Amino acid sequence: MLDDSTEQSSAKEPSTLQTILLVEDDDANGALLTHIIAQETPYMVVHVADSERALEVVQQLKPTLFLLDYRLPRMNGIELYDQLHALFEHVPAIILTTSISKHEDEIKQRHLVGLAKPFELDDLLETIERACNPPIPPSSLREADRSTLSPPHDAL
Amino acid sequence: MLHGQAQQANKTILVVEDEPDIGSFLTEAILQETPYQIVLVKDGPHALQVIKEITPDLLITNFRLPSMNGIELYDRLHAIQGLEAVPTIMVSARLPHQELTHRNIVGISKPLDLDELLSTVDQLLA
Repeated sequence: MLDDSTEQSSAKEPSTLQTILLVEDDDANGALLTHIIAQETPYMVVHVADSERALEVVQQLKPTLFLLDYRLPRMNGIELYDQLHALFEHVPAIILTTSISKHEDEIKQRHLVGLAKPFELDDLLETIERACNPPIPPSSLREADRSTLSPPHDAL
Repeated sequence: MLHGQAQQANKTILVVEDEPDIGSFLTEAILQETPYQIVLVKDGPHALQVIKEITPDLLITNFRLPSMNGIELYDRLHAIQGLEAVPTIMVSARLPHQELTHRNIVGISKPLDLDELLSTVDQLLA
C-alpha cells in the first residue's frame, strides 16, 4: 500500500479541483452561497463563519480561492485576506461588500476582486469563474504551446 | 464522475474526522468526485461502533483525534477478523512516518490537496 511510486505520481499531478473557502458570518447567506456554488459550478466549497476558523481550516485544506465577506466579527475580510495571503501567496480572493466604493482603495491595492452586495447570481458565478480560471497571458505561453495553438498556415 | 469507475459504486469509505466543516467538505468531495459511498464519523470510538454494521473498503483518518489517535484506531480496526487488509490513508500536519511505514499506511500531509487525496483513494480502491 505504501508505494513510493504512488506517492510520487500523486505529488506531481497539478491541482485541477478547485476548493473555495467561503467566510460568511451570516449562516443563512453562507448556506445559500454554498448551495448555489455547489449546484452551479464544479467547485467544492468550505463555509466557515469567522476569520479564526478560516485560519484554522487552511491548516487542513489547500484552498484555490477565497470568497470573503467584508463585514466579519473581530477581523474584517481585508484583514483576514492579509493573513491568508501571507500563508497562500498565489490564491486569489473575492471580497463581498455592501460598500464597495468605501473599500475600493484597499481592494485595489491588493489586486483583489470586489463584488457589491446585493449581487446578481450570474455576476457572482462569473466572478468566481474568472478568479478560478484567469486568462493565460500570451506572453506566458511556452514556445511549444504557441506552435500548437498557431494555425498551420503560420508556418508558410 | 471524474475519478473511479461506475462499478466501484458499492465500495464504502469510512472517514474519521473530528472537525465538522472539514468532515462535511470531505464527504461532499468524495460523493461528488468519486463513485464511492462514504460514512463519516467524528472519532475512533464511533468508527469502531460503525464497523460492527458496515465493512469499509477504505479507511481515511486523521492522526490527531480525540479519545484515540489514528494509529490506535488503525491497530484496533485491523485486529478485527475480516478487516486486517482494509487499506488506510492517514492525514495530518505532522505525520508519524515510522508508524505509517511499519503498518503500510499511506500518509497525506495537511493542508490537504484534494486532487492528491482523491487520486490516492482511486489508486487504493482500484
